[in-house]
Order: sequence, then structure tokens, then C-alpha cells
Amino acid sequence: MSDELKVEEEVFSVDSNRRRFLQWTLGGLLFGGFVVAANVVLRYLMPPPPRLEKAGQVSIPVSQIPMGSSLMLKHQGAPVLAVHTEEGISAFSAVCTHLGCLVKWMPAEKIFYCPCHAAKFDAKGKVTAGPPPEPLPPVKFEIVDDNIIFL
Amino acid sequence: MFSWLSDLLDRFIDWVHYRTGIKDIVRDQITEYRVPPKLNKWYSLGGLSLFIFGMQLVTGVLLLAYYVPSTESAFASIQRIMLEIPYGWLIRLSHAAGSHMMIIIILLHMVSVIFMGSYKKPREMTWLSGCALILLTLAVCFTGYLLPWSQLSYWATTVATSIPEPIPVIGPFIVKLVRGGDHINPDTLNRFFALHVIVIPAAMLALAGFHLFLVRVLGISGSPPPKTKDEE
Repeated sequence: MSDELKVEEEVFSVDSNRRRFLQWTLGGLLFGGFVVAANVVLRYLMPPPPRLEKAGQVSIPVSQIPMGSSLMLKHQGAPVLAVHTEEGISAFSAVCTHLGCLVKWMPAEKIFYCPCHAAKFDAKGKVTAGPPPEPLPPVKFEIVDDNIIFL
Repeated sequence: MFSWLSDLLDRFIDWVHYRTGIKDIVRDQITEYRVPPKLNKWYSLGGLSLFIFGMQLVTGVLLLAYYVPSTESAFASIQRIMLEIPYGWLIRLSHAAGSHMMIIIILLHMVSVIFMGSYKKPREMTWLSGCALILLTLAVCFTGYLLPWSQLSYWATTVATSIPEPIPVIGPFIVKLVRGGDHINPDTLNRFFALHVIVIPAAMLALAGFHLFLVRVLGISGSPPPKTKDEE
């Protein structure tokens, strides 16, 4: 009689161990999933940093753009192309006004060239060839103490 | 280790149970709910579509945190959600993919109900409320499609709202009523927004509650028993 009882107890204890293991595993997985989802929702709802806050930090020394060269940089989250020609330093949005490809400065011809549809803009951003409907928008900047500060 | 916590939880559940009978409801409806034998994955599709509907409610409310329902700023606010807001792309694309999934799952659900003849007496009202639910689901997908105010959504809505036009006498009237004018205009966006975020979802919640209530009242329609040797 007592032997039978013992066997039953053993079976029960094995079973309850397995059940507890499964409960903890399932609970852990659910909790992990909940934490991941909560992280996504919280970060989504946190106010993102305003774009203008980053803007004040963009400044480069003039020496980085020697005469005849160009520099691509990120300003307010958008690509900007600064060039140095005989007429001085100028900066334009590097996004082609046609379909949004990035334009490239061609020092030999002194044009901005868009590789997607062979559009050309002159050194003042004006369209000289190709499909773009509008000139490249200029980007304002100041030169303070040999530093170019983009506004 | 956490026994004090589970004691506290038990006391809280007892407190609620005394006032609502929650333990009996959970036992009868969830933990000891009896289902017919040999249910398969086809029987999970109703619950699955309810789950997706819940996900759509959550992601939809989250999208409302940044979406602006006006013709001037709708598209820009979508761009902001997709490009600037952390995980905005995830929330919006989940919402879009969920709408497709919901249609697919509901159609599979209908196929299984038709195939098994589960719509027959006494379940006609469950079937009809389900038919109304899929129409509402299509309506909520349709109204949501206009909200980004992109070229795609503008022209898709132009085409779809012109479908009733050939109906004799009342056709042009219906088109004008849906659009709030002769063409898609800012008023169309506003009425579609109202329909999409509150009117149709509220109706779907009520109808889905009724649908589920009927399922629980009548029980799940099980598979027919296998043929015995005499029948063959």
C-alpha cells in the first residue's frame, strides 16, 4: 500500500516540475515580448529631438574646402554640398529637384551633375541641362573666424 | 520567495471575485471551457482575426499620436512618422500589413465555415453578423487607404468612389454623398478620417462582441462524426 503511494508521489513530483518549467518558460517569453513591445511604444511616444537643435552644431573650418574642391555634409538631416570656386564658397542642397538623387560637384566643368538622369546645374544652382523643374536650393551659412557655420 | 506577492494577488482576486464572480466566469469560459473533439487550426481563425483587430486598434491609436488629418499636412505627417519618429515605420507598416492579414484571415475563416456548413441552423445569426463584419473590415481598409493623401490613395479613392456612378437615378447621388462633393476634396479626407478612426471600429467592436456572444451561447460547431460502417 505504502509503495503504491510512493510511486504516485514520484510521478506527481516529476509532473509538477515539468509544469513549473513550462510555466516559467512561457511566462518568461511573454514577459520578454512585453518588454520589447513596451520599449518600441515608449520610444515611439517620446518626443523626438527637434531638427533645429542639431543645426547649430554644423560648422567646418574653411581649410577643409580648399579652392576647387567640394564637401558633402549632413545638415538638419539633409545632404548639403559645399563648394569652393573662384567666386568664393557656396553651399546647396545636394538633392536633385527632379527625383531626389544626390548631385555631385564636377570641378573640371564647374557644374553639379546628377548621375540619375544626366541633369546639370551651374555653380549658382541653376538648371542648365536635363529634367529638373527647379534650381538647387541654396543653403545659408556664415563664415566666422575661418569656420563655416551652416544656419 | 514571492509567496507574499502571490498571497497579495490571491487576496485581490478574491476581493474582485466576491463582487463579480470572476473566478466562475474564468473557469466556465476559459480554463474549463469544453470544445468539441478534433478541432484543428481552421478553428483558430476567428480568434486570430480578433487578435489582428486588437493589434490594429493599438497601432492605429499610436499612429494618431503623430498623424494630422488635413490635406496640407497629412502626407508630411506620414513622412515624419516613417523617417523621423523612432519605430514609426514599424508602427505604420504593422498597421498596413495587419489590414491585409485581417482580410486574408477572415476570408479563410469564411471558407472554413462554408466548407463545414457551420452557418446552418441555429447559427444563421452568427453567419450574418460575420458577413456584416467582413463588409465593415473592407470599409475600414477602404477609408484608411485615403488617409496618407498620397497620389496613390487619392486616385485609388477616386476610382473606388466612382463605382456606384452607373447605378440608374441614385448613382451620382451616392457618389456625391460619399465624396462630399463632385470630386475628392478636403472634406472627403475629414469624413473618411472620422469613419476610419471611430465610426467603423466602434461598430466592429459591437458586432464582434455580438458574434462572439453567439459563438459562446451556441457552442463551437464541431466536425461531423466519422461515418460508421453501417452508413457506408
